[in-house]
Amino acid sequence: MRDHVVVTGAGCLSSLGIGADTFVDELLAGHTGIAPVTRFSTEGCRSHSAALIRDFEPARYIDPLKLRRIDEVGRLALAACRLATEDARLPTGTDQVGVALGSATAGLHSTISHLHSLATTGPATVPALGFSNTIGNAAASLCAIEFGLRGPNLTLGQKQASALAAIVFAVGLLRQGRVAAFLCGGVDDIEEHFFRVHDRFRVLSPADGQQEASRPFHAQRNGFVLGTGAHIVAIETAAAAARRGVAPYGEILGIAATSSACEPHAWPAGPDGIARAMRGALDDAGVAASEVSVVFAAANSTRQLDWVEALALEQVFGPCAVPVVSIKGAIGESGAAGAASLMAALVCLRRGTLPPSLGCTPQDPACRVDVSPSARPARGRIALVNATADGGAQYCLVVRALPAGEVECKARVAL
Amino acid sequence: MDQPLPTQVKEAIVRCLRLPLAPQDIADDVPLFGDGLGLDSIDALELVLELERLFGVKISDEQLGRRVLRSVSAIVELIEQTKGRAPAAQG
Repeated sequence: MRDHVVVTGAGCLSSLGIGADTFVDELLAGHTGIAPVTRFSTEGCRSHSAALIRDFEPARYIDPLKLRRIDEVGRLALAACRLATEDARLPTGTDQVGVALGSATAGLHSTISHLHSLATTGPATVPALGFSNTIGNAAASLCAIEFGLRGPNLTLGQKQASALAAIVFAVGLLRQGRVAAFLCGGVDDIEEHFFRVHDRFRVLSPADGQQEASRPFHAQRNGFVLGTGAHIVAIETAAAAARRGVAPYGEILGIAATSSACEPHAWPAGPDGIARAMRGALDDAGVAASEVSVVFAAANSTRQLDWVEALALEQVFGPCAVPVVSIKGAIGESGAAGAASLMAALVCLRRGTLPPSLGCTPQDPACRVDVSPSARPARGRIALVNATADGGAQYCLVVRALPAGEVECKARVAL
Repeated sequence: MDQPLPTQVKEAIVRCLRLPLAPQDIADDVPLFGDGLGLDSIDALELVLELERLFGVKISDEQLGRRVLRSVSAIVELIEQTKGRAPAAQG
């Protein structure tokens, strides 16, 4: 029998604060992490808001001598991995733990900085110190070095679906028995050029004459708001967790990956790719659609994605047949958002309350989904988590939350 | 007026390696690598390039690098030797 994979630790740095409990407290309270950008200038842009990580002090997590040569994404990855490792009491210095990061911005800050040096003073003065940070896998490598994690080590860049891509990959290796545990999830940070390119491509919700806001499923939604975050989970086989006596947040019951094979920067033209991923994850989990308590949607306030995801939900569950939540009204869109949804799903279901979908009303009548602008009671413990990237990559997880302190998977492993 | 050479070297080390220290916190004879200041091979690469750029010293092989990058004093010694060999017009 296939060993179950469980989530035993969470490391969270977000625009709603530090720590998984703080993150969920703020989500349930209906607070937003989106605010006017002050970290860099947005002068001349159509959009001026983002959800930037708050209260993060890198020196609390990283030795100052190391900190000087680790760029923004690396700092976030290291800190989130440290929090997840501590939360799971995961062993360090071992061949049996891997690191799988999902990121759309790994290496971005260092690359911009090196290009700036190259353009202004030429190749002779380009600093060697930060060069290794320009490599896309630098942040994951630093995590391996810092904690002595000698299992598989990789970074997947799948834009907005990066985090779930990494988690799905890690679950696959755990099921094959290749390693005992993974630190996996998403890490993204933004800087001025990244923001300005998105602004220029006109994908962000604009302020000029309109309401600049992240409003998934809203009738007048007009684009997404960029987010940031580091959401890392420790996952391991149920057997490994039971041996260590660690009580999981929940089980990852099913995974699936599909593609809509659409144009490079386009959202899927239709619902089929998203529906196939959801059906695939439900099949993999052995769970019927009617057993799902809530869907944490990928919907991000863009006209197209929210609509096609709503159609896909209708195909799989029926119109308004399952409670749907999008937390992107609170945290914006990023490559880490899927892992943020996973954490939110497990902790919220454990607490028995679903978070609000900020900005969802008045709802688009073309999006026939059961969303709520307010927190509401959760029925059951099974969640489906979606992530979709422009370009068409689609990942889906089916998870089951476990009550605090319950090592429920032991019995199944014994079978 | 120029700072004394050891001070210039310390300032260069702190600046180019972004060390969380003040230049005066580095003693002339403290080992730069390992148990001393804790620098490593990537720092060495950066430091070699910076010393060449600022002081015109060539550290062309690993053996010389190990000897010269031992401490601020050893770096100063090499710079002074290099200056001594240079034509007066450039010195």
